[in-house]
Amino acid sequence: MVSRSNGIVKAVLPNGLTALLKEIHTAPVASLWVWYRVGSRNEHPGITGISHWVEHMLFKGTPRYSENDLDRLVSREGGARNGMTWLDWTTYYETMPSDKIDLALEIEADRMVNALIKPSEVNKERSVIINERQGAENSPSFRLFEEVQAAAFKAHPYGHEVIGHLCDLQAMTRDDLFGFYKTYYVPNNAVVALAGDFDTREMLDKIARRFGRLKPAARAPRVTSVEPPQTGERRVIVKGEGTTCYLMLAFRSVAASHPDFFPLVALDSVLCGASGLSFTGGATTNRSSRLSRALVDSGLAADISGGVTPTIDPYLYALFATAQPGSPIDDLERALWAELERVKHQPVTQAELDKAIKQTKAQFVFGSESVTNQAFYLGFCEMFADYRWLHTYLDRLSAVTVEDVQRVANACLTQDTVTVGRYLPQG
Amino acid sequence: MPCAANIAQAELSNGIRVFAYENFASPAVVVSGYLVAGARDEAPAGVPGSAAVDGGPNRAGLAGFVADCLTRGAGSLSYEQIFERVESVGATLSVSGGMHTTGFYARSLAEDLPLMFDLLSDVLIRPTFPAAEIEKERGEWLTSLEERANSARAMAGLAFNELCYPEGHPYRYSIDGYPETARAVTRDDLAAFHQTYFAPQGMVITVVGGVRARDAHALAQRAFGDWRATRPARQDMPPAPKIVGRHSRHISMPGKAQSSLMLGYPGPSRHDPDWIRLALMNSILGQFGMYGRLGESVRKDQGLVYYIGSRFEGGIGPGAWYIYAGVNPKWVDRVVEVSLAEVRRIRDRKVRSQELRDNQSWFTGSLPLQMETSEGIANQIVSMARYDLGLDYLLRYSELVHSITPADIQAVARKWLDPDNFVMVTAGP
Repeated sequence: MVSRSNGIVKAVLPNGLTALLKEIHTAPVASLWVWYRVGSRNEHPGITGISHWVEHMLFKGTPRYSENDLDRLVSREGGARNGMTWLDWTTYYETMPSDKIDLALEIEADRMVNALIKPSEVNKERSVIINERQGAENSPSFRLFEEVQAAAFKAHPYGHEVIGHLCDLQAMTRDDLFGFYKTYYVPNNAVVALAGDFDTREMLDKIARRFGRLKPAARAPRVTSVEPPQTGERRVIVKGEGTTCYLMLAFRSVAASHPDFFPLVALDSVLCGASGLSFTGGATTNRSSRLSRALVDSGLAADISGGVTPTIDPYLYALFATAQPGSPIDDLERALWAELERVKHQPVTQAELDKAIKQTKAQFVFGSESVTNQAFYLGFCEMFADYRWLHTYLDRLSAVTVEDVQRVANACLTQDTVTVGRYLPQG
Repeated sequence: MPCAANIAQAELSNGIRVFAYENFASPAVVVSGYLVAGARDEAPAGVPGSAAVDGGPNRAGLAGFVADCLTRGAGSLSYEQIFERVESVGATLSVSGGMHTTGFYARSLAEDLPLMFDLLSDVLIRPTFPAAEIEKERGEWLTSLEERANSARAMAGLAFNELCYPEGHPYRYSIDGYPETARAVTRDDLAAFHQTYFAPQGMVITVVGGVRARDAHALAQRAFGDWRATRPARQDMPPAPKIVGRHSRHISMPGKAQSSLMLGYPGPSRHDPDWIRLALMNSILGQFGMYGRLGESVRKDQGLVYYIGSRFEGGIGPGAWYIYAGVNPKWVDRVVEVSLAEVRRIRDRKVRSQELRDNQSWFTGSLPLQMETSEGIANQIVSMARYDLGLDYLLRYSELVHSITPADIQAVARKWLDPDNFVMVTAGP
């Protein structure tokens, strides 16, 4: 089954594997991303962090490619590669000189089903991942966000960090990892996204040859958890080292498929500046945004940022502020709420909204320059919507009105659906 | 491939070099470059007229603070107006102070390029340093220094440079300054630094993206062509003496879960004739694939760390060479032992030719990826200008890389790597 739209070709192979292709001939480069519909959303207590750990194990070799082969073969062709695990997905990519992209196809088709996950390697990787977690724990913002997330969700697995709890990282076994891998790493749970300098028809053949013979498996278990409504403010305090206070306000957000998602993106841009969609960042400064003017220019905060994440289930719209030395965190929080009340009670101006939309468009254009980002976009939006989400993104954002923004501000930014986190340094 | 044949080069009458590279595949344009003013122009300790504070320079961080304050008001524009203009069109504009130079960067849609040039010339030539705005910027500076004091990686880096470079050497001091200097710097200091050191001599402007080269040159000429300032000549960078013996320091940071480790010493500049061989040798040691041989022994074989690697900072002066890692405190000794064994191995035994070939083809094969975007191309051109590599450097690059032999790798490893004499810092619990 093949469909085409806006230069993107989508094919679903008989084994259920979805392929998305976009030819771009501006540079002799191609980027392959393989996405799996599995992330921390698919975990439960006892196996938190397992998606990320499995991702690590996919770099540890198959019967065909040893761990060192995997490192060496891509690098020596000048390729860049990595893997990432998030709430809703796990993804692996190789960006290569376009005449070498077949190697990436071979590697990804092979490790979709043949990862060894050897017991001895599992134990070595256990300490690597615990190290990764400890590195993150060195940062106060990680510790604060972990607590806020945990307080914000009671029933839904979005409540734990992707890296998982230490106790689970200490206790999980090779069988846990291997079973999880076999459940979710199947062609009918995967999306192959390619962008770059290739011929679509030829590339579809190559994909079919390598991925088409992989056997489909039972449909992966569905996530049934639904977070119950929140009916009052939640508040957490994290104490720790250092001398800097941090403040986080995390509001219940909406799923990417919800009609309020785009107004929320516009609202975030008005409040905190546009943040773009690229996985490589590329956000602009936000010094003319409302919250920067109110909090940073007034000397209460050194920095303010916000972010809307497109997710399958409703997640969080989080605002994060770094307090300036000597600025009381109560004053900072009060000033932040005052700005949120203002945006709820008075509509933003058309000029502010136009700016927010232009910023987001520009970020999108800048992000599209890189073939790696383009392939990322293709697979990314397939995780929570489908590829058409991508090319309607700018149109749907442009259609947002000042009334939409005000309505969404009133729906989202309420004291009854917030989790407030404060990091209080003890230094 | 950007080269002399397709990079349009021009020199303005005041000495500014302008490089334009047309890339109509991109609707965006990047302006990237630098001028010759930096932290090494802050009077270091021991220089007449600059009283040192606590053995350090009393103005450390001044160059960086000047750069940060340039966008706080310039020409007839206020801080608010500058950022309103930039952000309204979704553009980015930034200036940042480094050790040797002050870098600037702008990215916008092609249609907004004239605006970006207007703003760049205002902020670089005509900053107004409004007193109230400087105090706001100072507040952000002090916050970032507080956060730095709570970052194990940053604190390890500070201590590492203090142990590596002698008193009075610019590399000893942080380009971000210290709380004492952040509180002491005055508006007059900013204005004087700008007045004295910001000048067109040595300045480089690179324009890459969907704009005709002649239009880019015309915009650069209009924005910067009439700038006539001059700056005093620089003294030579003092040498960085060789480290003798092992010098260790632990920065105690209770409450941290992990220690940051740095081990190394002052290394060669980017201008050193050994550079490309060193870069390749270091790739084998601590970069290729997943952190090179260090990654293989320390992470893959023993599971001791999540990240480890080695790097030559290079740059215009004697930047350091070091191994870095994030380590559980109880494993620091083992990580150091295994890492030093790798340093010895690359000195004592020639690398296998296959390993060298893999690294060589990574060096040359990854060039197209580095130049996927206008920003990537601009970085390459700025680097060719900065290190006098010649605009055909990328054409010569493959031959340079592939001419290197296992004996060359061993020779530079023996010359530049030393497993017995180094500085070692850990910061953590």
